[in-house]
Amino acid sequence: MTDSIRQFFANRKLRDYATAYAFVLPALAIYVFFVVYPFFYTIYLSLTKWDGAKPVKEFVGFLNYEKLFADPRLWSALSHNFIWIILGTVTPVAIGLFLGVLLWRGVRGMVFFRTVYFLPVVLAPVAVGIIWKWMYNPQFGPINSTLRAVGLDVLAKGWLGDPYLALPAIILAGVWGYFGFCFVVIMAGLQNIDMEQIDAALVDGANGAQRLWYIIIPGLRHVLTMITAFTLILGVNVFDIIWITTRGGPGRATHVIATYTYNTAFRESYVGYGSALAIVMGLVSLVLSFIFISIRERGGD
Amino acid sequence: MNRLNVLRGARLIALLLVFALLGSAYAQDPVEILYWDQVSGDEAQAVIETIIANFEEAHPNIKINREVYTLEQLTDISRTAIEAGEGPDIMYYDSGPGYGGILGNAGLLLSLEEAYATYNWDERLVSVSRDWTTYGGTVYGVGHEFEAQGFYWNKRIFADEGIEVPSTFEEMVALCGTFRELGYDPPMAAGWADWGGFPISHNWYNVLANSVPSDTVAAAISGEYPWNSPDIVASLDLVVGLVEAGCYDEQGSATSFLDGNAKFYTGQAPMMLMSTWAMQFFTDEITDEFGFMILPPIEGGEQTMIQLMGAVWYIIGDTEHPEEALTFLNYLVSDEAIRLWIEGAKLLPGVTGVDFSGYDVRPVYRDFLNLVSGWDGPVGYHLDVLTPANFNTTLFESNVELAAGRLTSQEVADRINAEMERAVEDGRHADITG
Repeated sequence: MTDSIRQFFANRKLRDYATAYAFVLPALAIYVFFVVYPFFYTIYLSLTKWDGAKPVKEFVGFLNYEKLFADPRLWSALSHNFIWIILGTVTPVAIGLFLGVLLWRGVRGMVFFRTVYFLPVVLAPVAVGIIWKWMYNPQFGPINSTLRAVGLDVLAKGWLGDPYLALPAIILAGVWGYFGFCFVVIMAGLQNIDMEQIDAALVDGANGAQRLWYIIIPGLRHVLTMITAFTLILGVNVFDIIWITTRGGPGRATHVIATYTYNTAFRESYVGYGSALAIVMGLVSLVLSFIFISIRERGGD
Repeated sequence: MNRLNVLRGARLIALLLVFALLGSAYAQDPVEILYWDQVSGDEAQAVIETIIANFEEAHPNIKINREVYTLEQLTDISRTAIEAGEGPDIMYYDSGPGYGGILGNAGLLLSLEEAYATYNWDERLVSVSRDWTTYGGTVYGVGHEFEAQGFYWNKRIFADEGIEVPSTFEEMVALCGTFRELGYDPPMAAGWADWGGFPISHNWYNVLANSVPSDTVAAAISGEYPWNSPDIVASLDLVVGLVEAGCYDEQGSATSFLDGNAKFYTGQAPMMLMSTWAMQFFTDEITDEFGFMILPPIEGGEQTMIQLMGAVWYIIGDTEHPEEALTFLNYLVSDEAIRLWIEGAKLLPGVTGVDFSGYDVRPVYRDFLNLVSGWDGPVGYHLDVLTPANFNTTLFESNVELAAGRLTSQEVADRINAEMERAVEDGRHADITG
């Protein structure tokens, strides 16, 4: 026995493997315990009918998934997710790109701008929600107060109470809290743009839009792919800022799949059905990211 | 002193020391009861702390460790905490199939059948205390914060404007237009931006109770009568009538519940439809006097009072100290505690046979106490403590859309009927017809 252990340690390759696994195993164990196990347990729960309290979970097969298709609240929530994904992805990336290109060649006060733009990113989404809930307050909020002060009373609204305005209003808050991240990542990506190409394009008479479209954006493709995919996933999973500001209201006007899932599983105690919703949310996130990255990679080739 | 005496003395002192140590250890180690509470408001907080201090003084062998949570927090953590053996001994939580019912039906609460007999609670407490905390045929709770839904008016404004208190629902609706013309905006205080839009739904309960017979509503709650029947749809139309008459704040759906009510407290709105729970916010700084009555009768209907219990005390099933928990629970509804609850917190425990005449309370609260103790008319149902959680969520959401004109009364009724059918299918409804 001792000889075999000695032989094992004498073999450098095996020893390296053992060392590597020793370093990886703790992280793997944590990942399995906190991610893999809950994931599979959620799949199991999604196949049951359970109120979260009774000791017995009734196995119902795919019944919860069948019900999903006929659930108007799910489709309504998903439609809000898609609006969030489109506006909440395009807007901060576009703002980040615009500001990045604007400040790229160096301007006076660069550090100041970078700090100011990035500042909202350090706030937790809950804090962003609280700030904007106050901003949108119909009585005391600075937005309505300003509008009234300049004689635009007619534009002063109950922003978060209007079913048509509430979702765009929260998306605006989300964009404010996120565009700084896109800006900083794009700024980093811009450092890798080949300046010789830009200079050559200038000599060839390319205007600003042409330089942006033909040199800068292709040069940023990996950065843009990364932040777009990341933002897409955030758009599918968005929860906290909506929960803090409107809790899905008024009515169902701002429910997204995450708030609907939470409501179903924890407020209404339909844990089995809520788990099925959570699985759908994960799948949507996965499929969207996969499609986007595939298209982008194909385009890149 | 000889050596023997010294030894005897030393032995005696040692013995006394041992007894003293044992005694002090015993005295310093009272039974600890963990009490999860959702009492809010500074005055109510002070009252419960005083009650606990008084109780501990009277029962030195019991120590109450109070932890305060919101209803939402209790809903989120109570089940898992109790199942993990980390829950409280007593919990002050809401009643109904969606709250205490979930825990009771899962066997996580202590049956209080025996305690009701031992402490004579059936005599001492109002009947809804037992009725609304009975799940699956077993009683699990003791109700507190006995309330009524009703109509408030600002006596100063009504007197200044020379306006009579409405004697019918229709007169009340007409007053909304009158007050708007006089520049009061809104005529009726309400905000439903938070808490899922429940205030407007509570107003509907009031209208429903006064326009549809109680036994019909009981059948609907029990899943035996459709919620999209014409009479129920018509009651929703009456809420639409309140909206269309300009009673509510145009920004009601963007205004929080407390901000909305504040418009009544500050005299901006002369009227309010709300439960008596709101009286705890009538602080000394508010100089206006208010009147309270139950909803004026709807033409052709019988005036009906909605009574409700704000929340309920439950004892957790696996508590290691059921006797001490019951002793504390009984103290919470004792004569000593009742005076504190009423005078200090303006909260009425669900007790009967109490003479409130000597109590030091604001006139509007005395109106309510007299009204409740003298009421012999029909009593209606406060729905969300009896209806399942999925029904409540859909109802609250849909009524907000009803007020915004995005749904019709029929559509709201169809939605809530579908949710009740779902709850019946899953056995999550309450049967109150028996």
